[in-house]
Amino acid sequence: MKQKIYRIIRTCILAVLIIPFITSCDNDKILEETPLDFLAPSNAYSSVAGMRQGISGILSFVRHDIMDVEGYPGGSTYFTWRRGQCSDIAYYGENPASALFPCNFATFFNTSNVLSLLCWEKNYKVVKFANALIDAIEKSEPDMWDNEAQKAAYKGEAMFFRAYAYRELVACFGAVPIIKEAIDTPKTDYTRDAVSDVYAFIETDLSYAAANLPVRGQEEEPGRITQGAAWHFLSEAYVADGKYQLAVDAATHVIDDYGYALMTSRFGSSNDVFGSGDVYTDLFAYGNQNLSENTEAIWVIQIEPLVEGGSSFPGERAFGCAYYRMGNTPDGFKAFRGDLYDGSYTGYSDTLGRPVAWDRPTWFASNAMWESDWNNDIRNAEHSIKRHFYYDSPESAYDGMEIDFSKYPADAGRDAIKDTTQYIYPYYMKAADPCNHFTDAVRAGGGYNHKDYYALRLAETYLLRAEAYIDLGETGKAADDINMVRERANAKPIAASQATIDYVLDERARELYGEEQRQITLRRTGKLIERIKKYNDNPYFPGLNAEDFNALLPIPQTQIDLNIDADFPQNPGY
Amino acid sequence: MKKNACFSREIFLGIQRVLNLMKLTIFLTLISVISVFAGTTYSQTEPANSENTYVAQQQKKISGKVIDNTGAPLPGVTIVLQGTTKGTITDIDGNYTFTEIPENAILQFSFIGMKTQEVAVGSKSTINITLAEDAIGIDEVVAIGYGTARRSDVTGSVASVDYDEKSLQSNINVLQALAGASAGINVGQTGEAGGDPSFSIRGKTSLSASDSPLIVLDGIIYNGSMADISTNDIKSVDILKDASAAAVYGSRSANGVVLITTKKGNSEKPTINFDMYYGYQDITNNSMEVMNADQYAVRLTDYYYQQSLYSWYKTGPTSSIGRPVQPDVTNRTVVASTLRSEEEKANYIAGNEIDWVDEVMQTAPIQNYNLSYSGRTDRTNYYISSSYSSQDGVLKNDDFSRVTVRSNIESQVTDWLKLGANTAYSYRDYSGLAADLNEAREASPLADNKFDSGDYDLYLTGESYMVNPLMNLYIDNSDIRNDLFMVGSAKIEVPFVKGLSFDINYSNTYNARSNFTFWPTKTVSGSSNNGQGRKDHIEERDWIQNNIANYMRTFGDHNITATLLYSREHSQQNSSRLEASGFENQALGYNGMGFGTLSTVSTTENGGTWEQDGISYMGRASYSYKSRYFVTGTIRRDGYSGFGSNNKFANFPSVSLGWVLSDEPFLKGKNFPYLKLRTSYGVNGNQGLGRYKSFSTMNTSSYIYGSTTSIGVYPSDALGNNDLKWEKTTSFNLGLDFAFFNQRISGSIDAYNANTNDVLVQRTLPASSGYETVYENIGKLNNKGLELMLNTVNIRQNDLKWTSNLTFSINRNKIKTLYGGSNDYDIGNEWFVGESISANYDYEMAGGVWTEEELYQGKTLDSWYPGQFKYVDQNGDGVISPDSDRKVVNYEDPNFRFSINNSVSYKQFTLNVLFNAIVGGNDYYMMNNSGVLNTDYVADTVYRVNNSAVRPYWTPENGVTNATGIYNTPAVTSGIYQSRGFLRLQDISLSYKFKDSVLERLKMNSMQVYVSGKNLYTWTNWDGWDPEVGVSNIPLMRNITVGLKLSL
Repeated sequence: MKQKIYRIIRTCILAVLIIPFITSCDNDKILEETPLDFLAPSNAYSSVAGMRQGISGILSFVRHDIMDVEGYPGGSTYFTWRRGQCSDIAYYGENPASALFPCNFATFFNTSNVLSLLCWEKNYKVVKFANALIDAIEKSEPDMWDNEAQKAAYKGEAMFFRAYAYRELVACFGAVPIIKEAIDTPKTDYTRDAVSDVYAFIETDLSYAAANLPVRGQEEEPGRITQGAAWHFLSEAYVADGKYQLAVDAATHVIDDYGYALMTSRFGSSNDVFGSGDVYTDLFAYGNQNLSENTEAIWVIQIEPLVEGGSSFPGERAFGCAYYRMGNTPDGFKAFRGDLYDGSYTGYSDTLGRPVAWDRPTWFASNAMWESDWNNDIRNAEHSIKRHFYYDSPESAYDGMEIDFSKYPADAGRDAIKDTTQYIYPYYMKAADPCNHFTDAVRAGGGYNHKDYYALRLAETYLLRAEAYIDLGETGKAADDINMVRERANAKPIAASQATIDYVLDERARELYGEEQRQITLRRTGKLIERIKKYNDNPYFPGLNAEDFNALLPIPQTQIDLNIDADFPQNPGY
Repeated sequence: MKKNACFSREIFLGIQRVLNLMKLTIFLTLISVISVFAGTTYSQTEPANSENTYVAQQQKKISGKVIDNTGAPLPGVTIVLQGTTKGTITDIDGNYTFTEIPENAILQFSFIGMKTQEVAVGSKSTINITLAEDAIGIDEVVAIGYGTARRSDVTGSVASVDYDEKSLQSNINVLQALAGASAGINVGQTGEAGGDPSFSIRGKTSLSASDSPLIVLDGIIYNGSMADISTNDIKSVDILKDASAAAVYGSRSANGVVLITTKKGNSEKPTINFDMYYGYQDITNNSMEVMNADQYAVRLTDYYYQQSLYSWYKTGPTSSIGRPVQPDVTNRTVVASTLRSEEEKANYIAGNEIDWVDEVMQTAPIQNYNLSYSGRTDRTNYYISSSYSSQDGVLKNDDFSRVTVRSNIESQVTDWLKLGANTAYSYRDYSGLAADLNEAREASPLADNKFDSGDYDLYLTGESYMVNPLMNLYIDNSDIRNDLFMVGSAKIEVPFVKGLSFDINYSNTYNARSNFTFWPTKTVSGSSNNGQGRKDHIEERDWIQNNIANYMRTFGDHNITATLLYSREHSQQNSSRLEASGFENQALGYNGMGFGTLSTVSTTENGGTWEQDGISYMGRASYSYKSRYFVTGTIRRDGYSGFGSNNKFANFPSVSLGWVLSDEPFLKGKNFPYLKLRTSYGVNGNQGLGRYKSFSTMNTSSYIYGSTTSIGVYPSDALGNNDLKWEKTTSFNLGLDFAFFNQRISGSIDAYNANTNDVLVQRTLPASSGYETVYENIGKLNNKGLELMLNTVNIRQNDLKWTSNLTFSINRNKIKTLYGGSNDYDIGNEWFVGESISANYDYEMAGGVWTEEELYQGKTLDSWYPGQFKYVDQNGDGVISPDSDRKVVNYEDPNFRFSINNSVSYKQFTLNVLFNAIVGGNDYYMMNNSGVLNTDYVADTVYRVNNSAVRPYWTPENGVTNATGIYNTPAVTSGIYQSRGFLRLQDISLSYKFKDSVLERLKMNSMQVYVSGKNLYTWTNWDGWDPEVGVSNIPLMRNITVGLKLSL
């Protein structure tokens, strides 16, 4: 009996000890994985608020990775290149022989150059973002939306960005793969779709967007895309695609239908630090881009200082001359004392900021193109293009005098190229925000300011329609459109006979220097190489050694190497 | 989250956890009590240690002396009453006294490195023993994972490192002691104060996942940092290298397993040990050089000169007529005119210069103190220790200090129940950001050092590429890491089933890191943000529950051991980052984050919040016959939350065989005292990538509408994959343990061949997909290698003893499959089927640079000019192009590794010298060192920053052929590869042990003083800070320390 009890106790103890080895459990539940701190595509776009975040994400990416410069190698190259550096209007001023910028096409544009890579990667990421959003919108529950129009508006906005990315891809690379759907498995058999197919794709996207986006003033918040922007880029796609009448019609929608108008009198806040100003400088004054009275803005990239989501713009850095590096006065004192900060002089002027001289205008852009209206065109006024610089050196006899390199003794060791391409040159102030810096107090804002900037403004639409009219042979109407822009600038109107593609490109340079995506404009008009050879006077590489095949960029080598399941031909010449 | 997962299981585990925690707490409370009483008990019983006290118990007292075969007394020999935990150790003269011994008792005498002997007491009252040396330590107990085994019974490939032998080296990190300690163990070097060296075992079994071995600390899988463990607390480290040995850890064992065992109390008399060393460190002898003021200045003149030269070359000259002439670089005014700032001009004319590398470096102190208190009573052994270490790096402001506390207690509560609690706490302080050596290399030697002066320059000479190398010293940083590791264990020997026991252990690791930083306006980010502050908090908690059943039984010649395991583990982390900028008042630094006008919070930085779970079952059975034939089989089944739903579980089986040849009649008695053959075959896994990697994730990026922030969301760069699973390595190991010539020569040879399937490949995708990468289990790899360990006793005399240890290892790996095809390659990653993982794919140097003569004669290839490297035109089309002219030029992996350790003892002196080497040759162990060997010519950095002066750049005048010109725009560029092979005098120590006579007078157990050096000299052809750190700008440190060890 006793034995039996002991045996039972033993068995019980053993059983308890063995439990862990035999208990079965719902292992699947234990091993189920649930994200805790991140969103996955499955749950990110599950509400209208999520869709809005999707749009904000694309806008943020477009602002930072396509339009801004910071944070990745080659960023400054991409930024300045898109704005016309190394085209007909500018070259790299800090070192015109640099290998970091396309100063010499013969060596820069190999198949692994950073511009091709960034242009390709960044735009295809926007395509991916747009496709993910479009996919989510199409699969969304109908009752998620307030109404059908809201759903269509969001879809239109996503399609707008997809087209926006293809706009640059097709202009820069020609035939490129069209990706219509969200990708969820690896794919390595891409092929190049014909240029006409790409334009057709862009036109479909933008037509949908133009029909379904909100009209001007009805957008949910400032900086969102409206019908006007879609019509403009649709017009541009039609011009490039040879559909000139459709282009005129699309541009006319922008000009006539939404209450846009060129600004003709002073408005908003003024930043007249050089003693004078005008409506053109008001367009670029801090805070004026988003104003409802600003009827010229079509799409404004949003910037705000020192706020989450705010960012900054390297306007001074890119377009200004690096005056503070010029060294001494002719009598041997530091040429620029700078501003007083925290008890000592910084060496930088808050008025001029801290430029790096990325974009040195060509002679054409700094002088030749202004000659006909040198004194009357407000865009060429001293407060718009600063051409005179003065010593700021109290100990020197030259203090307050205009900088003049001819005053230096022969043995001062001055380098004429650096003096005129890097230190002192005509400075387009529209990109700068004099005396108005919120960050980097020690270095005059570090070259960054916090103005919103125009991705699109009505003046460009006029010039685009002018181009379409010229293509249609209607030069009179073209001259009218060009004169709309010139009139506002107080420049002399032109006659119909003067309205040529080249004149439009000249006028674009005058009106949109540093604003428009000059590389796209020149490539789609077929004028890039011709005008580089004609106007780019880089002192080391006049004409930048550009060749006709440079009209298209080389496809990034990695795209070709990694696309292992299909042949991906390189553009000719590379 | 998993509320309903398994109710009964959770309750059961919950109860166990509570019980374990209670035990743990009780033991922690008892620690102090026991330790205090252990001491007093001993001192109380000592005077009573006379015969009359024990007569009543009718048990006897035994005494005697233990000597080795040279007649020298052996102190510290453990004597255990067989079948009990009672024991004692010999004193410094080898004498021992053992009381309360029944007549039928058997005494077991054991000592590391000696053969264990058993003696029946019988009627003897004096037992003198001569212990024989056991060069191969076959009776040594080694950890094998979820248990221990005698070395002689082990059939897998297990390397053991005795940390006592390493105690004279100045190792702050546990891993440092493993460098060169055993074959097949690859420990790197670190130049950071308190840094973790890189560590791997055998070859690389993965392309994308980690190759870090699994660390097991006191039987528990350890996810913490090795830097948390004080070297002094470690008794031994066992390394499981082959499949069968590691298979008990299944899914995480493909990279090998390291079992760390901490110390226990082992003498009845409480012992206090005190160790300390103090010394200084600087960088290893192999430093690199940057341009001095003259070179720096002339470089610019040459840059502009060569620029015009190239323009001229491009006109296609046929003779030197019209060639631009080099300006007169001996004329300081001419040279000064090309300098980029007035400050530099003035300094150049005045002849001032500064060596920025010197400015950021320092000779730094290193020190370590350790105090431990240990001992054992009848039923309890205890080890309590505390240490303080501090190390400054060779870069200014690279500071590290650490405090550790450990308490290991084990108690035999009843004859069937043993409880243990190991608790360790560590506090590490990495505060301060090191001065930047990279910036120092690039800083102008003609700039003024205005650090800490009124006109301090954030950017030297106003050049934004030239950040002040000392800037980091302005950054206020506090980086504190706390780690608490606890294991509670219970061992139940089931009284009614002989040989059956249960081990239940539960561990809990908690570590927290607070990293606070403030960048004032004097720093780059502080300047552009008007002051920037950041507070990072990271908190991780892991628990593991192991239930182990062991069965061990001997039936005559048959020996059976079986182990069953059920294990559950869970880890979780949460982290947050608070950031603020735009400070209106910076006086409070990071403590005044509220003064920032812009604050952001991130919950994803530093790993964010995550949790992961694992479930494991393991069974192991061993059988041996006559201790001559051995067989062991293991199977482990692992489940892990981090993989796709179809692949949550996987099985990892293995089998191994052992055969002691020397016990066979046909060999016995011949000149083969010991010979054992081992072989194993099995599967190991690598879970590598970790949690959430199967998901596609979204990134956030904020935008603003007017002044309203919106947190944008878009798909990240990595594409998800729901089919992710373990990488599986199937390996075969053949080993031989041997000893001959009276055990004067012993060692082992291991050969292995391992195939890894389902290798996770982070595949780079064509950019048109918008995604950059995806992980897929598509690759296959092969590793094979050979390892040799040789121990010799060269001289063994009374006063003089000389022993040597040699290790040698060689490994070759090969990619067998990448994306499925037989000839796949991935140029971006430099992976090619049929080639080593470490292949370098590049242009092949054809020797030298193009010369002007060749240009004039039209012999240069199109668009190639003098002063540019010549490359082999592989397809002979006259163009050097990326598509057709690159090939696998060499490999980054070492050719082979070896180390030689020599230990010579003469009387009280011992000299220990360890040489360690990684050998290149045959295109192995090559690395692209162009950053050091060639003046930068690609980027604008050539004229914005200072450059390396290791090789002069080419000029038409100087005839240099191993470097390019300074102005240079080659159509293609390649790396400049250099062998990193080296031989290093890694550790050397000379110690003196005080004589017994002195110790007696000092009332001490032992005392030893020593001087020791680390990395004192390195022989290499590598140009750089150190061959082992490669191209990183963190030089390796060497040091000399003096130390003291004493025991009471």
